[in-house]
Amino acid sequence: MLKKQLVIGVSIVLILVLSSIFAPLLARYNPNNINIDDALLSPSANHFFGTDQLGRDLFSRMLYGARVSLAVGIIAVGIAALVGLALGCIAGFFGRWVDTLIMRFLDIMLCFPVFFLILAVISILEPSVFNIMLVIGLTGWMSTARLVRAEVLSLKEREFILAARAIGASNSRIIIKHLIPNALGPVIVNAVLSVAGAILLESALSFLGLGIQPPTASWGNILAESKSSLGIAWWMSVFPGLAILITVLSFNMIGEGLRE
Amino acid sequence: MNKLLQIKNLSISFKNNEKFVNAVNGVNLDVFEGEILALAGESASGKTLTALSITRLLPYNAVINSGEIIFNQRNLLNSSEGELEDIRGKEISYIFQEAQASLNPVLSIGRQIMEPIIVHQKKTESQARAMAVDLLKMVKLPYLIETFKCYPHQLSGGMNQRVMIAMALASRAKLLIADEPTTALDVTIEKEIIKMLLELREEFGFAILFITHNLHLVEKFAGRVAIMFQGRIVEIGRTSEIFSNPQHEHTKALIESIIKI
Repeated sequence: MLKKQLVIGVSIVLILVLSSIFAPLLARYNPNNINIDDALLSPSANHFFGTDQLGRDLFSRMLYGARVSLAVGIIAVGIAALVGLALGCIAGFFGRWVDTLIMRFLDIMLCFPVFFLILAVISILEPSVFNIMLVIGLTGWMSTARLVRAEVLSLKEREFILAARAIGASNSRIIIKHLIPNALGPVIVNAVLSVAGAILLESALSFLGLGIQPPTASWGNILAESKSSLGIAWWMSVFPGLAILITVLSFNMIGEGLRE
Repeated sequence: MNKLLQIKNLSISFKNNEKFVNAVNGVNLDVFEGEILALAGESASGKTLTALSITRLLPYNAVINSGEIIFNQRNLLNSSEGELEDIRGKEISYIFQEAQASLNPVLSIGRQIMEPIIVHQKKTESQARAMAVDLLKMVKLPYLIETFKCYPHQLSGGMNQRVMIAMALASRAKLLIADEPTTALDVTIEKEIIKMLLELREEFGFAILFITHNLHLVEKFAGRVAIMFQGRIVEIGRTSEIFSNPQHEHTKALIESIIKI
């Protein structure tokens, strides 16, 4: 049952990744090409997902939007995992005041409502794709850090760490070669589960107009643009909504499957 | 014979809730080049702590109160962590009781044997690999190439202990500290491991500080023996003399305990 979950999740994510990589081949229209004559067409053989108020092909925009949404999700989580891994290891391994310092900083970070922190930072910086990745990443490392710290705290008391010290390995070597490989399992599961959250966060930011800026397509801002035509063009909100739902679901399925 | 290692007046205590509990009290011990010195005693008599303190591998709540540990005309208790890292695994090596627990579960055996070579000798990846294969041959591990890729949980306790010995001898250490190396093994494997250690010592001439509670092994295998009791060395001398004429009550008790079995 769980294996099935993993297989389904991986295949959907694979399809999404491949279709976003090959977006130029699959898309029949330029995603940013405005054609007012074709505005708000319902889904048809020419426009699979219909068109928006400016006559842009929604299917093409969704393909290109997948690039942005997936990239933001994966890279943001990568940043979060790296920061969490590094800080968690340092806190757990060195203990004492280093641990206290890092963990109290982590507590402070957890006190912020992350979404509003991101909104505040993005409204100061310009909302470029890179900044959004960075901000989502730098506000999402706390759970990983806690996880890694707990893991390191128990690992460092194990005999093989003493044996590694007895060989003459330095602290940095012990952390990199002996602790991190042993702590990596839960970090990966946690990261995969967080990709879904990061994609949702980016969509929410774009929906509020503080994420990816038009005309660049992302699923969130396609959804945002659909607000004004919600009553007359259902396809503009349903397809990006579905895409987000399916992606989040399949990343969660992978995460759950890996956890076992 | 020259003194390889001198432990002078070593005292260690544990710090527990602001209270200090003495674990090792004024231990004096010399290890000569190439000898086998057994450090015997019951559990919690401070033998492991003494052994770990030699290269300052103590747990974080253990404090060295006084003493000197002289190795190569240097007091290891004053040496920096970096200097100690150069000595550990290169000049003074350890073998621990639970070989499987002492090996990293996510690294292959080959990788782990390469580890001390990479840490101490400036070798390329392929040179280190070749040396690791030689070390595996040296400790007589069968199926060389397959073993190289194995993980610790795939090997038996005896094989893992051989891997540990290979790692300990990777840089031709002058002193091998064996902390109950065969306690977790069954008797036939124990015999093989001890025999191999003796053969390797013949070949490379390292000294062994053999920590054990098994006096039966001590009698067969050690040149000298130090008996430890409640953090003190109560008796030290040639194995034959100690066994034929034990002075201290505790030594007598320990020797009687073998005969009963």
